[in-house]
Amino acid sequence: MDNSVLLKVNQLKKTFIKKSGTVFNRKKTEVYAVNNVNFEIKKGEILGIIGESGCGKTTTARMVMRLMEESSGEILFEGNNLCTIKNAETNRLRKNMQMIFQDPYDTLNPGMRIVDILMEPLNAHEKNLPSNEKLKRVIEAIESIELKPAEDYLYRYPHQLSGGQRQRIAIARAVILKPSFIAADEPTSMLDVSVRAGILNLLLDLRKKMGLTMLFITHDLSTASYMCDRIAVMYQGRIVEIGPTKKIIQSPSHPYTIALVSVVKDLNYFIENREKLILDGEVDSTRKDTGCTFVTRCPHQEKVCHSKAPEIEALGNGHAVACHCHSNWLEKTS
Amino acid sequence: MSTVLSIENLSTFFKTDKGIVRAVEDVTFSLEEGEMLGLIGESGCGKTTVAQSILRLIEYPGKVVSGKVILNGKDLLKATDDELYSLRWKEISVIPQSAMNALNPVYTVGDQIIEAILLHEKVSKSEAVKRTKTLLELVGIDGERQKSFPHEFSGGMKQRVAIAMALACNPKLVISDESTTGLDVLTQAQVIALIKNLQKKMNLSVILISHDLPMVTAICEKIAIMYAGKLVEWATTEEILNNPKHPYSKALLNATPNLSDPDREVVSIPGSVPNLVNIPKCCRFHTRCPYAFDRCLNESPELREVTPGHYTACFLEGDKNG
Repeated sequence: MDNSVLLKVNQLKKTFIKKSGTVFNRKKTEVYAVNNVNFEIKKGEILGIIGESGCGKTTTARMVMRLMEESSGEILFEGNNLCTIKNAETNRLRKNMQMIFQDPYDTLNPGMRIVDILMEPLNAHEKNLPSNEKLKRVIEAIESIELKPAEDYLYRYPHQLSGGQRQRIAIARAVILKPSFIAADEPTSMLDVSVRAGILNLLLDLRKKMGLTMLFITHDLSTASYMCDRIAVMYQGRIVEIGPTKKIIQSPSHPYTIALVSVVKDLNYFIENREKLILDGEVDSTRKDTGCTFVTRCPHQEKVCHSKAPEIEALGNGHAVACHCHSNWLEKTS
Repeated sequence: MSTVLSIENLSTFFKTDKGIVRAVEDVTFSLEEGEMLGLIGESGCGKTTVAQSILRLIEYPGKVVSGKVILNGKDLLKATDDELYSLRWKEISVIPQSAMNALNPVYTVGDQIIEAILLHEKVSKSEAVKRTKTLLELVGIDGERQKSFPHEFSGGMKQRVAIAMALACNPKLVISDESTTGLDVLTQAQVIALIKNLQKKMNLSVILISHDLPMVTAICEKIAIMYAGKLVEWATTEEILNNPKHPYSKALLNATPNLSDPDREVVSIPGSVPNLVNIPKCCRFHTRCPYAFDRCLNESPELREVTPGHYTACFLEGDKNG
C-alpha cells in the first residue's frame, strides 16, 4: 500500500434487515445502508462525506471506528485490515483513531467531572503513566482546545458548560491520546452559528499542530467546503461523486451534487429551475440492487439507469463520478 | 404597498422562580403587503416568542407586558377571544415548527384540513373536500391522498401538508416558524421554493423565522436580526449584506461559511449569550462586542433609523448621525 495513505476503505458494505408484515406473514427485506463504498484518506488530509440523513455517512464512520461490524469489505488503517484483526489488537489501534460525536449534550457523562472525563482515555490506554503526569496531559489537552485557564474547567460538571464548551471538551477527549486519525460526525450541527465557526477553526488548528488526518461528516456543503481538502458525496449508501473540494463546487458532475451545490450557491436559481434540477421523488432504501439509486429523483435519467447501477468513473485530477449519462447531459446543458 | 402588520415595542416576559426572564423586549418592526421578512437569530433569542406573541399564544408563566401588534389596523393584543377566533386562519396563520409532530396521527390529513375550513368558513362539507383537494395539489401532492394518514407521508410531504393547511382559509399573513428545520438540504430547498412561489402567486405576506442566514438572505426582501430578546437590526436584505450596522450582524455574517468564497476565514463570536433572568439595563451584546464602551454597560440602546429604512440598535451608529 502507498505509504502516504492512512486509511483505505475497499468495497465496504453494510446491510440491515428490515422486518415488516404481520406476525404470521413476516417479511424480511435487506436495506443497503452502505453499498460498495471505496475511498482513501492520505496522511494530513481532511476528507468530507456529505449527504442527506439516512445516506449512510454515519454508518461508514462507525464501521471505520469499529463501533459496528461490516457486512463485507475491508478497512485498511496504517496497513492493518481492521475487519480481520482481533479485538485486543483493535483496542490498541483505537489509541490512534478517535471519534467526535454529534451531540455534545449526550456524549459527556453528566455524573463525571471534566477531569474524570478526560482521564478516561488515559486510564484505558496509558495505564503506566503516573497520575501527576496524567493530570498534566489533561491540562495540556484543555489548553489545546482554547479553554483557558484550564484549572477553571477541571472540576466542573458538563452541565456547567455551554454547548460550544462541551463540544470542545469532546474534542479534547478525542485528541488527548495524540491520535493520528479522527472521525468527526457532524461536530457542529447542534451548535449555534456564532459558536460553530470557533469549533471549525479549532479543528483546522489542531490538524496543523498535530498533523491530524480527518474524516469529516456533515450535511452542510458550505461547512464541508470550508473544512475539507476532498469531498465525497453519498446518496443512499453509495458514493456518487468524489473529488477535490474546488472541483466538486465549481464543476459538479452528478445530478445530485449539482442540485446540492445550486441550493447552497444560489437558492434563487434553484427555486426558478427546480424541475430541471431534481424531481419530487421518494427515497426508498429497500430498493433492489439494480439500477442507479438516484433514478427516482433524477431529471436526466435514461433507460440504462433503471437496469444497471453505474460504476464510479474517473474524470481526472482525482475527480470521479458514478453516473451513466453525465457526459450526455452535461453537453446538453452547457 | 400598505402595511399588513406592524409591531410596536412588543415585550413578553416570563415569570420564573429565579426572576423575570425578559424573553422579548421592545421589539419593533413592520411588514408590507406581499413582503417576505426573515426573522433570524440564534436559538433562545426570542424569535418564536415573538411569533407566539403576535398570535396571542403566550401562556402562563409568560405574559405580553406591553406593546402593540396591529394587523390591518386592529390591535391584536386588545382583541377579544371571539375576534381572535375569526382572525386566526383567515387573516393570519402559522406553518409550525416540525410539521412531523404538528399533524394528528389518528386522522387523515384531509380530515384535518377540512376541519379547519369548516370551523372558520360557512361552506358545505363537499365544498371543503373540493377545496382540500385543490390545496393539496397547490403544494404538489396528489389530491386523492387526502385520505392518507400522516404516517404514510415522508417528512417533506408532511411539511407540504402543513403548508396547505396554513393556506386553507386564504390568509393574508403566514408565519413560518422554522418550518424547514430538520429536513434534508434538498427537501428543505424544495419546501422553501414552494413557500416562495406561493408567496408570489397569492401575494402573501410571510414572516420566515429561521436561523439559517444564507437561506434567508437568498429569498427574503427584508431581514430582522434578533439577539437575546432584542431586535438589533432591521433593513432590506441588500443593506444587511452590504452595509451591516450592528456589530452582532457583522459578526454573524463573518461566522457563516460561504460557498462562493470558501477561502475566507470564518470568525466565531467570543463569549456566550447572556442569561436573560433579571438582566440589567444594558446593551445585551456588550459582553461579546469588540466596540463596547461605558455607555453600553449602563444604558439600553433603542432601535433607531440610521438611514431611510435601515434600523439598528447601537450607540455607535446613533451617535454618528446625531
